[in-house]
Amino acid sequence: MNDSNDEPKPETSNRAGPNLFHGMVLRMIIVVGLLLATRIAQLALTGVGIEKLQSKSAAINLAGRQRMLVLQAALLSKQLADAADDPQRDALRRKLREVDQQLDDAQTAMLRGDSALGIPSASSTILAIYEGEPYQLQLRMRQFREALPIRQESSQIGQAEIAAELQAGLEAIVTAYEDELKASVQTLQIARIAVFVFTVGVLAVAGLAVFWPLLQRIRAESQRRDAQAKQLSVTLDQLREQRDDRQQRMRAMASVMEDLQDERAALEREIMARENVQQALQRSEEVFHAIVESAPTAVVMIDPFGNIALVNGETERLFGYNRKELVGKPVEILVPQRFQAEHPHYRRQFLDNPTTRRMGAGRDLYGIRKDGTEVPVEIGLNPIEAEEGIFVLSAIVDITERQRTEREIRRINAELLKKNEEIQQFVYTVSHDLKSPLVTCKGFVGVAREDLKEGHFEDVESSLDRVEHATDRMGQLIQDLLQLSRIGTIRNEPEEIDVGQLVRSALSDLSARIDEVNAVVSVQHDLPRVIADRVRLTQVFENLLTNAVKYGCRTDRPEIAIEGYADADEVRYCVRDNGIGIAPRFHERIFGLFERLDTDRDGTGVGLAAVARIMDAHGGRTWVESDVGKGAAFWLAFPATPHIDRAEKLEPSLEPWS
Amino acid sequence: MATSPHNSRLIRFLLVEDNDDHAMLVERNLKRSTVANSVDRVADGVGALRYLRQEGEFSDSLRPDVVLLDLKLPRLDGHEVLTAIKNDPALRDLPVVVLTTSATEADRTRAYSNHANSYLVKPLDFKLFQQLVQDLSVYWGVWNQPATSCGSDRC
Repeated sequence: MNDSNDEPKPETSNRAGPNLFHGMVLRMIIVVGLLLATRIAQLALTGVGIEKLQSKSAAINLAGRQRMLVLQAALLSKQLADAADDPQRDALRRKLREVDQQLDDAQTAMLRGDSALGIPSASSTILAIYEGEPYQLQLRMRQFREALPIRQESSQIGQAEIAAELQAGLEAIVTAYEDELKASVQTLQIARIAVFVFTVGVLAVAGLAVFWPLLQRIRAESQRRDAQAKQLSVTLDQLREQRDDRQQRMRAMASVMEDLQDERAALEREIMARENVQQALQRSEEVFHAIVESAPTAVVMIDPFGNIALVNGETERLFGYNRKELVGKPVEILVPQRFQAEHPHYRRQFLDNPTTRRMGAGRDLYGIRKDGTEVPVEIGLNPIEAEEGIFVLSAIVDITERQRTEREIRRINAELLKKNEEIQQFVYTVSHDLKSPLVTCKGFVGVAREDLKEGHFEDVESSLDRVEHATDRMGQLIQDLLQLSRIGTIRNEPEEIDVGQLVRSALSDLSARIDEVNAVVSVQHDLPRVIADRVRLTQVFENLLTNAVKYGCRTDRPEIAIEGYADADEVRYCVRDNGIGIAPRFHERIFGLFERLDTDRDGTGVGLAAVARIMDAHGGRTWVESDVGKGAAFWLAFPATPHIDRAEKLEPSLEPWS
Repeated sequence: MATSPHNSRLIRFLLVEDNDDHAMLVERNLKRSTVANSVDRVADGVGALRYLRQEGEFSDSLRPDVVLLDLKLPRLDGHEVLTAIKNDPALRDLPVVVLTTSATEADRTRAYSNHANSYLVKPLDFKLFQQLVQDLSVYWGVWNQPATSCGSDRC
């Protein structure tokens, strides 16, 4: 049995209080009482049981003793029977009687019980046995024995049988007592078990009764504590987690701090670097500005939106603006009206493909000044990438001079080409027009020799004449050529000329020939004046008038008229005749060198070429209006503003005959 | 006129030359040629074409066998005369021999591209000139077979 007195005192909360305590004590008392009772009962039962057992055992012992006695008696009987003499027999008989007495006593004790021996009175079962066969036998046996000394042989045999029966009977009694004993023991055991169970039950119930609430409370408490513990553990876990978390964060923060410090260091370095760069930038900007400012061309920088961001001094000078008036304005302010619409488009085109290049390749570009005048320009574009977009740096060059120079070059080129042509003509002339008289010369020298040989002396003189004429012609030709070569340059100072007077003077030189052809000459009375080289102009009019007389008077009533007109652009003169006229396809040719339309022996074909040359040198021109049968009008046009080509260098050695 | 064993009939030349002296030289030398010939002369291009076409004052002219053409002519340039002759179906097969002082390549090329039959440069030397004229008359008068045989009354 568990010792239930050592119950643990529950550490109840203060709420449990004294009530619980009292209840508990009460319960404990009850429990103890019950236990005591059961213990007593148990003890009692046990005592009783033991008693019973003891008595049963005593009975068994007694039965056993009886058996022994029986055996003894049997044995003695046998010995008696076998006794040799009477003293033995008497001794044996005495023993036998003792044994019998003992048997009787024992038997009586068995039947009635003997409190001194502790033998209970025989149960019915035992009684049954005694009154059964063995008991009766025993009686017989006694009877027998009484008669024993007489009948020895037969009693032996009978006695052995009776002894055996007694034995068996006693065995049975013993067995019966043993069975009873067993039964009592069993009963006792059962009782003890019952008591045990009862005790246990009582204890259990008591325990439950007492300890159930306790248990509950304990359980509750433990649950609570568990819960608390769990909570605590959860909280602990949480806290641990939080701590870990915080630790992690702290670590993270620490590393972030480190990074930040690194960054800061880097930033500081960068700032320093930037400052250096800034300074360098500033310096380079200063240099840039200095360059831009000092550039000999106008520099204009526009922002990605087309507004002027920067100009230099040359821009101010070229366009006539103060730079304040330009910065911030759209660049179109510098573009002439007629190009303004397209200009933004060109700008966009450039931004689409920004490369350093000339603007407007193939186009003539013009800028417009503040005062409205235009200036031809060439523009180089340079893209500069910046954060806000692409700035365009443009260098603007005033190409007025250059254009003038180009024009000059073109003009000079043309002159050179013309000169070249004339050189060609010279070559041609030498190969032909000089050759021709040479052929004549040599030819007629040969003829003359032939004639001399053949005796035709009278023909010789005509040959010589021909030779002479031919050489004359050669000389004239050379003269004319030389003169022509020098006509291209105006040697004399241009002066304002009274053309009327000049014409009349030329006419008077030709008066003889005019009379010859009976030509009527009329000179416009208010011929405009002109600024020209007097000598050359005289040559021109002499040429035209000579031509007019020679070729323009092959008609019935030849008329020659000299006219003149002046307007804003030009001063024009005209020498008109009513001769046979010139077919249009010859109009250009006749001004060429050595071109002759007519079979004229006099002229060398240089006249009109000279006229053309002279007019060209004056910046003017000459042409003819004519058709077959419709007379001819030779025109001269001088520009209103004189543009006279002056010779740089004179060639005095080549003027023997001017 | 010298008789020649080579040709039986007269070879007719048309000389188109504006320079009287040169014309004189040619005519004189043709006269002394061993080949029987006759020369008619016109002094300018217009006259030449009129002669060939038997126009106006030349309506009685006979068709020449050979045209001797100078290039430098007034009124109508020698080149143009040549072109006119060669473009005219009636005159096309008439041999045109250019006889000129010009030795320039331009003139020569142009003459041939206009189908001149020959291009001769007048020599300075008198003897050579004589030789040229003589050879000319032999070549064209004796050796050269004309395009059209003489059967019409023009010959």
